[in-house]
Amino acid sequence: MAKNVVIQRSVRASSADSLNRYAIHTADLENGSIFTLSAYKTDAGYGEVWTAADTTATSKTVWMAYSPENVVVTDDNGNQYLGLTKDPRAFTNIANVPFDCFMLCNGDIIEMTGANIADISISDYLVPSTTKALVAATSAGSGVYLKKVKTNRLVIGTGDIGGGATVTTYVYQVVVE
Amino acid sequence: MNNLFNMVFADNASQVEQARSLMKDYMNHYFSETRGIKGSFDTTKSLEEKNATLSKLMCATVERLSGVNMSNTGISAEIIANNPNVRWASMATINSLIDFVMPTVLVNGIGTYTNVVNGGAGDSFTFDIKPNDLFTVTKAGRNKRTGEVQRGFDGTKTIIPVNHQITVGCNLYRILIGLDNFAEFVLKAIVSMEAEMRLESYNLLNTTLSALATTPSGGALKVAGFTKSSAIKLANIVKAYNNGSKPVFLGTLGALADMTAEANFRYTEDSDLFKLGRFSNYAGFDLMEIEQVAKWNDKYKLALDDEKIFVVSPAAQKLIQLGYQGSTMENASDKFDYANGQQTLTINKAWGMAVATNATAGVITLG
Repeated sequence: MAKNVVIQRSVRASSADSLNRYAIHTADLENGSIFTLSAYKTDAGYGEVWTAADTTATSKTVWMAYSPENVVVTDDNGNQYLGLTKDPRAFTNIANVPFDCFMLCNGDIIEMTGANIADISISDYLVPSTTKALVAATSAGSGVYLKKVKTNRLVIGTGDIGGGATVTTYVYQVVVE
Repeated sequence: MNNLFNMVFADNASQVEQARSLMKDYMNHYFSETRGIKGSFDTTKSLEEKNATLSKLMCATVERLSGVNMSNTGISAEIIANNPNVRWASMATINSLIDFVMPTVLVNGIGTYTNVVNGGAGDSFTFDIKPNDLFTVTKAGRNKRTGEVQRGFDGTKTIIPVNHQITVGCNLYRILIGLDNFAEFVLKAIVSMEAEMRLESYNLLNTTLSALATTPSGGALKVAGFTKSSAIKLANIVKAYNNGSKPVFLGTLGALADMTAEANFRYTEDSDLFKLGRFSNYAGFDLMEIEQVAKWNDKYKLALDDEKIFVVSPAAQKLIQLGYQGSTMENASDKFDYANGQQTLTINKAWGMAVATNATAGVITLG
């Protein structure tokens, strides 16, 4: 199943170190997953790594997973391999491995393919859920929400005739009320 | 594969060069007489004479490689032919020639839309594919330090080769005493595998392009029926989306012949339409003919579709990648392996192919 592909079109985290952190979670998390960070991981060697926790529907301080898309492929025996594919739709942040994230700020512009977000094409908003996922909604939430501002496209070189797969993307403005 | 050829014929550099030159010359001559494919070759000698010369060279190579003097030994040729070294050397010679000749032969047949890559034994192939797209430019003010970030992503396509096999009845004794022609045997094996590769490549192209949508939404890559305007439009779409790389109309003669002129068009006996049965250029786009392939299991039917004209840009990235895995491997039976005295030779050649491109192409369906 294809994973979400995220592009930071214009975000405050580009200019502020404090808006970028390392996080870790016990399960795989796609780029574009959201969570709260309230505590460092306490194990030795993880001094600057935060533990990702679930959001709520009213969460206002929300972080989004966003790591470079270096795809790890895992075989049936649990062996992991890098460099087998460049397709970003195969990328996910691996469980129990630190990954990059940034804080969503008012006015940020985020673009994503929205894979695995049901009804994203027909909904104008993305709001936090009680898990680490954004969900499509027809109205704004009461915490952080993402408002769709346009539809775009992303061409990924798949080898298919025509120059690659043209994937619809959705561009959102982050609103923190 | 060239290294294998060199190792087999590498008694000295001049012998390698002589073998390569003889094989190329023979091949060009053979295809000129049997397929009308132009190539340079020595016109002062007949194909039969070249047959004999090549066979003599191959037998000399077998002698050198095996270390067995096959003449004037007082031992019958039949017994010598059963020498394991002689049998190995013969097969090594055949394999090296197949690996040497095959890529050249294929380029003549499917080189317009297929790229051939070589790998070692056990290799698979990975292709990084660049997206065929451009970034969006926006008008801008003066006081913002950057625009909104855009990104591009390559993709990856892989090919896992599959083994292909030919088993033929081959009598080594008859070859060494001249009853069977060594060079012809090699060529027949090459031609068989080459025909199979061409067919696989063509069918892949045909299947892929036939699956394109016909519903126009500002432009379509699949057009039903030939008209001058739709053909020109399709060629221009392919050209534009291949960044100006000019496409050709590619198809069998049966298909290209349907690219007809307008009504009341007159042509003379020295025109291409009369001599070739088709135009050689249409509205500024060249026509390129694909040779038909016999359907040996369905006699006198043809394997390639006479109802399709493909529009491809030869100079853009090739549509199909064909990966060879390793060298040709042979399995020759021993003299008494079979209860009925049969002797067989099996040639194994592993290859895989897939559509792996960032180029655009189109198809005109005629039927």
